[in-house]
Amino acid sequence: MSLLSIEHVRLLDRESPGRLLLDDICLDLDAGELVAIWGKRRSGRSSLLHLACGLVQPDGGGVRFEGRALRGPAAIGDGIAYCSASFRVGEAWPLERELIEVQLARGVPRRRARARAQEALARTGAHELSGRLLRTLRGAEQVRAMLALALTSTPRLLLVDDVVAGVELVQRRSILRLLRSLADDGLAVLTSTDEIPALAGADRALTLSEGRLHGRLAPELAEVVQLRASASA
Amino acid sequence: MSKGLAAELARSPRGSARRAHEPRPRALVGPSALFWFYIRWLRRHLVEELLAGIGVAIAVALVFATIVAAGSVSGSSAQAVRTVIGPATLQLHARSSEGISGTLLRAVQRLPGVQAAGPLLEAPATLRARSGHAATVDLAGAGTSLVFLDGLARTIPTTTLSAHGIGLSSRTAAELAIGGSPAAQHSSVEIYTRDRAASVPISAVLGGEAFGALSHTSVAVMQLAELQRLMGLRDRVSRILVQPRPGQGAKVRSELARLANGRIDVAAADQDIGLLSQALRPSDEASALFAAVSALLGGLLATAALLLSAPDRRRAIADLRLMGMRRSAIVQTFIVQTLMLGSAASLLGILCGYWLSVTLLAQSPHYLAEAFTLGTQTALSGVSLLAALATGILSCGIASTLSLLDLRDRNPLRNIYQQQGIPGNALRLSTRRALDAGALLLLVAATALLATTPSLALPACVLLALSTVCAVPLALRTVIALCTRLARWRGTLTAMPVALSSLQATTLRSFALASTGALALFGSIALGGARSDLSQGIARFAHSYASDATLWVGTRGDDQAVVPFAAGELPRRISRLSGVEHVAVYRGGFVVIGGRRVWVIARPPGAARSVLASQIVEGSAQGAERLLAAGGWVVVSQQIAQEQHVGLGGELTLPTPSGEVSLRIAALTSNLAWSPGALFLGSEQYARLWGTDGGPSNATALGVSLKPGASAHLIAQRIRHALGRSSGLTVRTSSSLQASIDTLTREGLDQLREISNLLLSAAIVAMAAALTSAVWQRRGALAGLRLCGVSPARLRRILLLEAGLLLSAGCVTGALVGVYGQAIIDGYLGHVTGFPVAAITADGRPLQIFALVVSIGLAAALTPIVLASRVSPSYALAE
Repeated sequence: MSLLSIEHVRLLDRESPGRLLLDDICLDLDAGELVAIWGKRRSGRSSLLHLACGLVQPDGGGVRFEGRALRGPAAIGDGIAYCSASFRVGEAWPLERELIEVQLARGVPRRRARARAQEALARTGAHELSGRLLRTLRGAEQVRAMLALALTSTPRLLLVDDVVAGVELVQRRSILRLLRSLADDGLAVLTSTDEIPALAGADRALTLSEGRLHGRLAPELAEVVQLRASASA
Repeated sequence: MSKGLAAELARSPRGSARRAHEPRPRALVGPSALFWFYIRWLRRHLVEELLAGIGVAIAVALVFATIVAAGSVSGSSAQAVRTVIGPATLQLHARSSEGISGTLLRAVQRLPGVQAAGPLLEAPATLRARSGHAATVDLAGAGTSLVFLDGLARTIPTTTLSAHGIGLSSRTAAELAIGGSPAAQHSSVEIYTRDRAASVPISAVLGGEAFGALSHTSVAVMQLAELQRLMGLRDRVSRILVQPRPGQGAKVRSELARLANGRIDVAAADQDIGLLSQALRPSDEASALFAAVSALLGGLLATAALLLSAPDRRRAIADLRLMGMRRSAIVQTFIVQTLMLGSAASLLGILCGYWLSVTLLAQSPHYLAEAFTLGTQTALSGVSLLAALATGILSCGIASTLSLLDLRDRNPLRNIYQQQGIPGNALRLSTRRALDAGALLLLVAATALLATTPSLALPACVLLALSTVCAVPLALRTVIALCTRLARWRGTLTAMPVALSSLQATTLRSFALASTGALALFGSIALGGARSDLSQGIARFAHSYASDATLWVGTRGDDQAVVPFAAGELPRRISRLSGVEHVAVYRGGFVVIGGRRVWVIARPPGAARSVLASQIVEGSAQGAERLLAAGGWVVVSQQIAQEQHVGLGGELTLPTPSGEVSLRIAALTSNLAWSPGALFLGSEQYARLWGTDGGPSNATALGVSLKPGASAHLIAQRIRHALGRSSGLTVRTSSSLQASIDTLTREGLDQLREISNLLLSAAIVAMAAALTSAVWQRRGALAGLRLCGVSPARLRRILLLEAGLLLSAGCVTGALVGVYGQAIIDGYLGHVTGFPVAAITADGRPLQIFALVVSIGLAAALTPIVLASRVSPSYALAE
């Protein structure tokens, strides 16, 4: 049984009635696997990640996490963590305090929340940012902070939307390495991007096009990914 | 704020967006851009603006309703008096209920310079319809000569004054549940006046077209001779209205004075307007104080409602500055917004306020009905409209000005984005310190004001209300510090620190919310508590007044014992009944002293003991009783003595039917819940002074004391049997009389109750709107938390805790200062208006109000909290 199973999912485009945004999508993801999805703008890659955590309900097919059907966002914080540069939580306090308070809000006792926060900051290399206001962080700093926030819920599946959006070129590699290392630690990681270099290090790189998920990249893209991966190694 | 919008606002009306080489943006923005900006603002903050508008509208409604209701009784009653007197400018007015001889009319008509004169006999009466509905009315008897005077009878059907029947004002008909059908109108009513009862057919129901302003009063009119016969006052009238020829007023007045010979009042025909105005003054003053405090709190509530959106406005201001908009244009933009929101909310508030003034706050001072003809129309004035409009716009203006204060700083980011907490919420340390110091200073100033001049209760209350608001941040910090310690001590209290952190992050919003709760409690406890003390004081008076006898025999509806009846052999007959120990004759009436219609009480020796003891404010009760029995002394309300500039032992001149007499003051009392004031005379002295004008020696009440063990109800039945069915007299137990006095006197102060209840309701609604607005504004952050895995149940718990902490901090502050405010208002009511006010007792009332406000506030916030906690996590992405 896969950790995440997306089975023949169909999703209508809410903005263009009658158009299928996702059509018969199937995807399995296991623990320790890093899967990257590449697609153009409005190809439905973000919607696919939203389906994977229950934020959006499919119009056909189903999504299973650890064998259980996802019927809403209940699994977020309970095995699944969602991370995106387009959303921010907590714009009031320094990063470490925000990480602790989000856990307190989930019901984690203070001592454990503090320990987890420090662990997540160390794991993502964001410990230097712990005293900075979240709203003042940019680019890679912001992605690390959001990843730290996601890790405080000790997820088994990490969904990262637009993984390197807004991240400076020189910082991208470190972010991709971080995701790879998280997968190596046993976390299942599903990322989405519209930039080919961001596929580097992925166990599988898939293309989302015309609403369909293609199992392999186009040969020219696969070559680029391989080149990048070897370069980054 | 979008960059496109800022560019639009920054550029000239026909120009394109500003480039680096272009001149500075315009100092002011064109109307179309202003309108566009506000529409954009509304699109983004529609719910917040609506809720803020509701908060302002509630406050304006409160202000408008209280101002309008406060002025309506005297205004419409003046119209009623003018309808009665027509063009008459002078009158001869009897000093006793026995009236004056009708033969005087002919003497008056013969006086040189008199153009017309008309008689009027007036008496309080109880009417009972066949349906069982009863009404206490001012029963007037007029002759056709009044028609020539062009006064009361100007437009009413002449049959009303000539036929055997009674004409009812439409208000009286409504009270008696007599409909408009001819059959219903031609039924009959039972009239009870003095000791008489009679059934009289209804000749007409007089509406506004026939009766003018009188149609809105509790009045009935009969033919003069008919009423004289009914009342047993043959050829007697209460007053003679006189219309002098042009330029002959002074001459006619002196002629009338000669005719009166010091035994009849010669006064302006519209004297009742002044007397009623004076009678209403104490309760008006009390109402005015309550209304003013309510208005102030309403204004502050409106400001607090607007403050909730201040963080958004501050952010918008900072964004506009970053995009190059000039300060003058920003000020202009926000002033226009303020005016638009303030005007719309004020207009809505005025409509709601008008509805409140004609429903909830319609004053019913029936306790004055025995002495005055009272109107019930709602009188609108331009002042009330302007005051309400100004409150709404000013409150919005103050809240907007606070947002605009950020413009003083050269760096637009400093106060908004470079501070911890949600942007736009920061309160500088210096501001917080200034608020703390302000709270203390205002409290000290209010205390100093109270200690030196108790009559300045309104300014003292203003200072206290402002002090309450200033103290809120300190209270919030204290609550947060205490709860933080608690949360640290119990590490498993995980929702508490999140709620506390949220309160700290939204300082300005929390301040606005807690201030709303604080003002609600301050107003409810200060006004509600003072009203409760006043009610208790009146109840004690009613108890002591009625407890002089076990059973009371008197005219129906005459709680004050001022309507005389021929007692004759009745006291002796009642005293012979088995179980009766003693029957005492009580007398009383009204007398005009210095523009006041004063209640005269003449009780038999020893009978006034409990009344005097409980109501004396200066002097000794025993000494006063001894002196009253001896004669030549009077016990008078403190306000009358102050007005006449006399004190204990000083001389007070009393106009009586026997002429003016000078009496020495034995003691000073409260006003006995009769706002113009009261005076006690020895029973014998009263009989001497009032019984010499040709009328029979009358009683106004009989007090019956029973033998130990005798049943009051049984003996009451025997007395009723002895009185006979045709008697207009009624027998009541002391508890029944007490309840009746209590009810009637409280009615006069109903407005205070309504105002304090309205304030509480308005504050609760404002609080609910504010909490809803605050929760709504946080949906984005809540969605973010849900995206981080926080469940709706946890969010609900956190939000409820947060609301509870906020309300508690605000309400505790308001409750503490409110008790102080209650003491100030009590002092004002007791010393300035003269009402009997009970001292503040350590009862659980403030706690009850606290629990009520917090529970209702939380209950009201529950729905938005539940809805907000279910916000879709996707909303965080859409944001």
